[in-house]
This record gives sequence, C-alpha cells and structure tokens, in this order.
Amino acid sequence: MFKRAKFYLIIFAIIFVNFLTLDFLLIDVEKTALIVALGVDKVDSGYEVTAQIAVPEATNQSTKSNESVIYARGDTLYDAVSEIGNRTGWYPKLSFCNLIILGDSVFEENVMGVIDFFVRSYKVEDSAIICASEKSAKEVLMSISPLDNISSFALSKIFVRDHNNASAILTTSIKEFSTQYYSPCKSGLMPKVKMIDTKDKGNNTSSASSLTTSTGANSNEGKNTPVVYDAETSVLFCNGLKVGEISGDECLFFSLFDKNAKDAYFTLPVIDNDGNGGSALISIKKSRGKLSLKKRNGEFILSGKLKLRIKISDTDFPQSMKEIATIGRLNEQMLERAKDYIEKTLYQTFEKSKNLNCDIFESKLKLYRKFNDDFSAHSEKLLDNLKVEFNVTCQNYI
Amino acid sequence: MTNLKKISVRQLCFIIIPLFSVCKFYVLPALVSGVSLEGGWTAVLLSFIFDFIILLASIFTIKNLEKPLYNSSVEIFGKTLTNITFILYAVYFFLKAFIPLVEQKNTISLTFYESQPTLLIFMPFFVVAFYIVKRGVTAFARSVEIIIWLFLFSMLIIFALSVPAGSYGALLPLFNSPRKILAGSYSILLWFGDPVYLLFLGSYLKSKEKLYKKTIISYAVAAIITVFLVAVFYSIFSSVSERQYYAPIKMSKYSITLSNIGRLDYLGSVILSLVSVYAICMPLILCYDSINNVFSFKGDNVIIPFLVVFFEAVLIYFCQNEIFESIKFVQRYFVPVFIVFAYVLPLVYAFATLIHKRKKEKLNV
Repeated sequence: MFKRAKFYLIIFAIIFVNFLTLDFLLIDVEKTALIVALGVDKVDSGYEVTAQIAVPEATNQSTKSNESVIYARGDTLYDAVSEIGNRTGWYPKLSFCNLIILGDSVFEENVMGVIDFFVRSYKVEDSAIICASEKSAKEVLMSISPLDNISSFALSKIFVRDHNNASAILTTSIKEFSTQYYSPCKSGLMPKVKMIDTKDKGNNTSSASSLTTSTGANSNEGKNTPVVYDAETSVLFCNGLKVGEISGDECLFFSLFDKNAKDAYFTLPVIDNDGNGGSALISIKKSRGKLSLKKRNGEFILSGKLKLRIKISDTDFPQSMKEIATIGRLNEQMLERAKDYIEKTLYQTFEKSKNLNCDIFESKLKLYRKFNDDFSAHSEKLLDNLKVEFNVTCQNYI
Repeated sequence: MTNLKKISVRQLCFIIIPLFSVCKFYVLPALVSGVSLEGGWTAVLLSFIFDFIILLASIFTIKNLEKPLYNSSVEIFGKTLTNITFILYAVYFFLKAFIPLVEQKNTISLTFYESQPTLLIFMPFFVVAFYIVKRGVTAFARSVEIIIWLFLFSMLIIFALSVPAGSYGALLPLFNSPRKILAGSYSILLWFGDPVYLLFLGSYLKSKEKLYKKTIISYAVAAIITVFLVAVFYSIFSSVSERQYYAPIKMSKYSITLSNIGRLDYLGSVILSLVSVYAICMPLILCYDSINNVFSFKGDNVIIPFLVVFFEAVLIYFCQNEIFESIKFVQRYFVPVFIVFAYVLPLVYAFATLIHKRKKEKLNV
C-alpha cells in the first residue's frame, strides 16, 4: 500500500513540477502578439508582410483596443512572419488572423505562390477572409478608419455583414479560393478593396493609435485621411493569375446562384410616369438560384435559373401616394425591365469570364461531377463550345 | 480466470459506438480522400463491410464458447499454441494503439498549442492510460457508460457546425472509380479491424442475450457516423481535402455562427480528444489482458500495465516528429501482419469454435 502511494506521489510530483516551472510550455498571453490581419506585398527580394497586431494589455484603466502595425521582409512568407517574432520578442500568434490582404504587386505572378503558405501552414486558419487590394496591402493596414480603432476590423465588418446573404461583396476565404484553384476549373475570385477618403469634423476622430511601429516604418505613413472601404468589385483569377474584374451588379447577380438573398439591392434604369428616364433602387427580398450543366443533342448547356421576389425601395422621381402605399410594388413593365437587366448582366458576366478563359461558373467542375465520362474529351474546349441559358423570373415581393 | 463475467451487452455496445469510430476521425479522412477523392466515403463504407464479416465471426465465437476465450482456446488448440497466439496478440494490440496515439499527440500539439510543445505536455495521457489499463476491462466498461454521452455531445457540436458548410455536389460522381475506392480502402486498413476486440471482451460478458442484434445495431451506428463524417469532410474541402488532417478540428470552423460566438467548435474537439483517450486505451487494456491470460499473474498487478504504457511512451518519443513516416512504415511492413491478426485469426477462431461445437454435439448424441 505504501509502495503504491509513493509511486503515485512521484508521478504527481513530476507533473506538478513541470506545471510550475514550464507551464507545460504554454505561452504567456502577455508575451503574445495577436495578429489580427496580414498584408502581403511582393518586393524585389521576396515578400513584405505587414501584420496588424492587437496587443493584449493587463490593465483596468482603459478599455481601448491597442493596435500596432509592423512589417518585415523575408524570402518566403513564413520567413517574414518569423521575422516579426524575432524582432519583437513576441510569439506571433496567427490563429486570430481573420483577414489576409494581398497587395497589387502580388498579382504580377501566380497568386498561389502566396496562398499556398496559408494552406500549408497550421498556424493560420484557412477560414480567414482573403481579399485583393487596389494599392499595397501595407497602405490598407496603415489606413485610419472612423469606424474602428483597428483598420482590419473595420474592413472585416463589410465582409462579415453579408457572409450568409447574396451581395455585391463576394467574400472569399483561403479555403474557398484554394478549393477553386485546385478544382478542374482552376479559376477563382476574390473581392478587391478600395479605400475611399472621408471628411471628418476633427483631425483626430479615430482613437486609433500606433503604439509601436518597428523596423523603421513611418508611423504616419498612409494614416492621414480617414477612409472607409469598398469591396464591390471582384478580381478574377485563372490558373492563379489575375485576368480581370467584375463589378458590383455582376458580382451580386453571380452570387445569387450560390447564396440566397434576403436583402440585396441594385439600381434599375426605369422610365418614370412622365416618360422621363430615371432610376429605381430595387431590393431583392427573396431569391432561389440554380446553376446546372445540361447535355442536349451532344452539346453542353449551362443553365442558370433565378427566381426573385423584388420590391422598389426608392426612386429618383416622385411617385404618387397610391404607388408609395402599395409597398414598393413594380408594375409589369418594370418587372420585365428588371428581368431583362439581370439576364443581360449575367450574359455579360459569362461572356467576360469566357473571354478571359476564367471558369467562375464552374462549368468544368459540373462536367466532372455530372458527365464524368465526357470530362477528358470535352473539358479542354468546354468554355469555347458551351452554350448558356439564363432564365430569370421576377415577382413582386408582396 | 474465474469471476470474469462483469460487463453487460449494453456496455459492450457503448464500447463499440464511440471507440470503433473516434480513431477514424483524425488522419483517415484526409488520407482516404487523397487516394479515393470523392469516393472516400465509399472506401470507408467498404472497409466497414469487411469488418462486419469479422464482427459476425467474433460474435459467433463469443456466443458459442462456454468458457472464456483463453480457456476455450487451450481446450481447442492446446496450451502452447494458445500462449503463443495470445503473446502475439499482445504485441498486435500494443502496435494497434500506436497510430491513434501518434495522431492524438499531433492533434493536441498542432491544434491546441501555438508553438511546437515537447512530449511533456502529453505525459498526463500516459498517467491516465496507466490507471485505465491497470483497472482493467470491467472498470473500463463502466466508465464508457459516461464516455458515450460525451462522444454523442461532441458529435452533435461538430456536425451542427460542419454539415451546413458542406457543398454536397462535391461527392459526385458516385462510385466513379472502383479501383480508386479499393485502393483507398486498402490505404486505411490500419484504422480498421476493431471487431477483433469483441473476441477478447466476450470473455467478460455477463449475459449473451440479444448479442447479435445489439452489437450489429451499435456497429451500424459507429459505421454511419464515420461514413457521414468522411462525406461531410469531403463536401467541405473537396480538392484540398488531402491536406486537411485532424478533421474534427478543421471541418467545424466554417460556420458563420462562430464569428459571433467564438470558437465553440473547440469544445467538441476537446471532448472528442477525451473520448480518444479511451479509444487508445482499449487495445492497451487488451494487450495487458492477453499477457495476464498467459502468465496468470496473481493479485493486483502494477508492473505489466506500467510496462505496456511505458514502452508505448518510448515508441512515441522516438517517432514523435515523424508521424506520417511512422504511419508509412507501419503500412509498408505491418499490413500483412495486421491482416492475419485482425481478419484471419478471428475467422480461424470462428471455424474452430464451429467444429468444436459440432464435435461436442456428436459426443453428446
């Protein structure tokens, strides 16, 4: 009995001593840099990584989130990320990194050279949102937003807001982008971030502070004018190379095949009651979309069907009380016009992607899944020979 | 070997559901998807069907043996052959725990830790494993009555978060390439062959009433959960699934709910890791049990459970950084050995039991 107690005591002592001396090698949260966003730019000698870091501080005096933007260079991305740790003494913790911004310089080469790192590494969650930047990624992360202390949080808000809802912002995660790239389509898209200057009452409306800007970065660089972000344009990729862009309405109608819309808007050119040209803001309140590949008489047809419930949310011309009272009902002519506009935009998107050899409608993937026997014979020339039929049905919401 | 009959059929079923499935959740989905692509779930289903034959053979053996397996085996094959078989089975069970143990160690260190921790963080596992092994089958079966609920709760969290994230068109074309499906099934062979446990656990059964019905239903539940998990896994990751090791942690993080409530999915994964501790201890207990049968140790033995767990820890220590190389090594050299112990010997026992039973019946007539 005594021997057994001694044995358990020794085991307990070993565990206890380990816990007290090493914390089982757990990292102290105070020594941790929580990287909330990463920006990647291509430079001559490799990559420049800009990390936006939220620094946890043990204090009861302030509830402010502090952030700092740090950049480092390396031959590879991992090299650059490690460099941040080496220079600051922090453990760069990447599991809170929910946003990856790729600067315009990255798109000169196959973008998968960068994204591969995030797929390979267990340090970054591949559910992180990935987006392209109009300028350098560093500029986006250095910008001040009146909406949040931390610019990447302000940017993330526009991506997360409509994540489950069809919208003009085609939020893409690392996993989604790499899944598309490694599929038979070898195509993909990601939203493009543009910074829009805003006017503030004072010069210092944002409480953003750059506590530490190491590696010689100018703390005021890119932080002069407060900005908001726009991501209603998406960049198209084929074989990892940037080939083109699609704009707001094209993104919105394309996304209706993937997600249901609960509250999405587009502007429809209409003719007012006096016969003058005007615009109406149409709200899509409900949608159901289906995109399928069919084979008819030996020809492959991409068939897209959309059923939309829409209403008028606003017009740029006065309406009668009767029209306002009918809670945004569209007349037959306007419904027909909306249908034509959406179909026209979809055909235009398809033609654009086809001309760029970019299979964003995933027709090759559909060929592989549905007509697997025909895949090897037809996949190469599928986009050239593919016929397309878009059928949109618009109905009044109420 | 008296006074063994201490576990019920219900407890046996509770062993089958979580412990026959949980070890197949971590590396297996990525491995089989790499070989069979969208047919991965079919390959897993095929492996379960092969195992089902062994399950039936094992239940047949249990049902028709009047004495515990070791005693019956001595009666049928003689003491020397039985002792050799049981010693070899002890080695087999020892090696059977190796892959899930390596997987679990890597899952914990790669997903719950930021930096690469040392083996020390995994040391408490060996302490717990030692205690579980030492307490033996009866205590194990009793604790599994709690583990089953933890398992079902973790599966509920994981499926609730991952099922809506899947794009199920990715599972097409169905039954695309039988060759790929067969190759996939072969590549995951090391994760199967669990029904052989029943052959040994059968010695502890209090009653054998409705044994067939209950074990088959439990086995079907374990198979359905595993096949469904692999299907959901491929529907989420499709073309990049080959890279997505440690599936339970990876697949449930894409739910939009998590952006509002935080990483709730870790709760399911942590609970599943706890269930895995039991799944890893299962073959270790049987290893100890087989040695105990051969040498008939008297009293409460501490040394053998300690040695079993200690050597497992030593093995893990030497292979800790080469998980995939270790798996490849075991696959290359041990698959034939594995087939003999997991598939051939249970069938031999079933035939021997049948012949023995008929001989007895003839003698009685």
